[in-house]
Amino acid sequence: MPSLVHPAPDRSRTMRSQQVLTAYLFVLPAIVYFLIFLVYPLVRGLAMSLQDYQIAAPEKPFVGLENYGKLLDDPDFSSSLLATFKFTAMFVPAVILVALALAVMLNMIRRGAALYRAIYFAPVMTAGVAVALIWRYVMHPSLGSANLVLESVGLPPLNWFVDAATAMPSLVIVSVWQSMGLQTILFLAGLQGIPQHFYDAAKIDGAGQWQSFRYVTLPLLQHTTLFVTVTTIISSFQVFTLAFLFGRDGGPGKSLLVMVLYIQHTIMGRGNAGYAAAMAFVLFAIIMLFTLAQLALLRARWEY
Amino acid sequence: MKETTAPTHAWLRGGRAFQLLSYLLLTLAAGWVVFPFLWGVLGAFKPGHQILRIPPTLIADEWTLQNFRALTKVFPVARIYANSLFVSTAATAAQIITSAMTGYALARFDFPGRQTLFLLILSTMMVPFFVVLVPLFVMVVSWGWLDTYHALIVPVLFTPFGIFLLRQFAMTIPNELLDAARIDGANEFRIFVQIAMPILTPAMGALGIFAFTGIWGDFLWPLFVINTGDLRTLPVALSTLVTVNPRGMGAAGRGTHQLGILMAGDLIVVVPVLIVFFIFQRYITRGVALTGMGGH
Repeated sequence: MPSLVHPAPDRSRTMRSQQVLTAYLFVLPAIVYFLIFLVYPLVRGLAMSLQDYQIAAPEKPFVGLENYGKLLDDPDFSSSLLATFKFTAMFVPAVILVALALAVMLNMIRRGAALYRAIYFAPVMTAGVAVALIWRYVMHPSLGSANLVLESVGLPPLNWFVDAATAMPSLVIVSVWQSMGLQTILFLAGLQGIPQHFYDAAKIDGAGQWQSFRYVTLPLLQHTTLFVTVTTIISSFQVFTLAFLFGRDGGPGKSLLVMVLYIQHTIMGRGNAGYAAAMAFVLFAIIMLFTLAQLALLRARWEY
Repeated sequence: MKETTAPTHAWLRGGRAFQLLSYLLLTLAAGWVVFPFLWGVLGAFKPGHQILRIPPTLIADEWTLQNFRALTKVFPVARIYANSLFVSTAATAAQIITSAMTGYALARFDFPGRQTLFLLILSTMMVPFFVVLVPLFVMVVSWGWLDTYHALIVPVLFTPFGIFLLRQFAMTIPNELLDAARIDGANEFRIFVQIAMPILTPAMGALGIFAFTGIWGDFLWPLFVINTGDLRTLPVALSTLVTVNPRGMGAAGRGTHQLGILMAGDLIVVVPVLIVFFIFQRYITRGVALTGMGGH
């Protein structure tokens, strides 16, 4: 303990051992918990993915990589993979653009930023079930107000969650609505962390509004942007609640059958835990690859 | 701590036109957020035929509580509400205490293995829930925990996010404060309770709100482990009201009648959380900015 000034040597030793003892007492429950509820299930899940593990069956024979092999021939698996990628490809850029724009404006206005910020964040705090219940009716083809808005600006009405072509974009819209407050706050924190003297320098150099945004704000915000992108991608691969509530059996043409929803079908509908575990690990591997790739990108561009 | 407003230059704020445009767009976005909320919440007080009126109206012509009465006939609302409250409160209290203890120890004690443990806990945040979902479900089944409160509470007694949040806060406690107490002969547990905990209170509050709203609204896990009517949590009970096919809701009759019930259910899930959120939103948004994460 560096800041102890001049303690008697024996007393210092007792204090130190008391601290170590307390520390272990404090962290022991967490260690036990993570062993039982995280490490063990991970190992168990990996083992299950190598078994023909039907929940109802008494025997769970080892089958090697058979479950993984079956995934390759399963059209529902490939379509759920595709649906998950589609969702991520639309949701992540959309929510980042909206949130960045909102954050930049919130950072600029003179008054009221706290209120706007709280409003945008409210859906983040709201249960997914409640969000789905409301939007289900807002986006109802003949009775919902979403089509009234389209009509009022002269656009044709849409069938939203009813048509296979529009179901996924609809899910993206509702997801952006629910999530954008989180990303907005992260961008706002990033913007407020940019030191003033960068802008002072830009002004002295004769930069205008747009130039200082383009050449000061955006580059200095790239860590925040990468961080937000990574965490948003990770969470978007895990989309479940809204997909389940808008398309319990996968939606029109299984367009909403995202991976976690298919995992849920596999275990609750068919009781096939081995197959579900194999799927979970494939998705996990994909997420890890994306995360590692982005961390590598982050490191390569570490300039500030 | 005072809320810091953006330390932005007047020059950066742009001219009047820029400000006006920002306010316009921000208000549009706020309207996009607020309108569905208001429509849903106020719809709970309307008779069915008024809800899906074209053009939509927010305020009921005649206020009614019939939707709430109808809701109590669909499922035992009081019981299910109590389930949700109990599970969320118990798990939240546990998460606050376990996160404070673990986070404080990781931040303030020097012990062999500290760095390894911290990295391990950080890396558990990278493991998505669905990876452990299947084995965890099988474990819960084999323990005979299906349809029990245990199944809902025990797996969420700890949270890596909370440990991380509290550790970051505990790092800011001045060393002198703790050492002074040690010189005075206070033992480590007393120092934690009497000196560290009061300083950690804002962080514990922020975590508490995240934890509560997260568990309150959680859907995937309760869907797996609770099947019987009386132990269901609110989101699971409400989800059973949703018709599978969005076309299955007629313009009149059963469809719109059910819509009013849905909105009543919506209101009782959303409103308590929103009230708590608006009271504490400063702590919450600071917690998000500090950790870079939301509670879910």
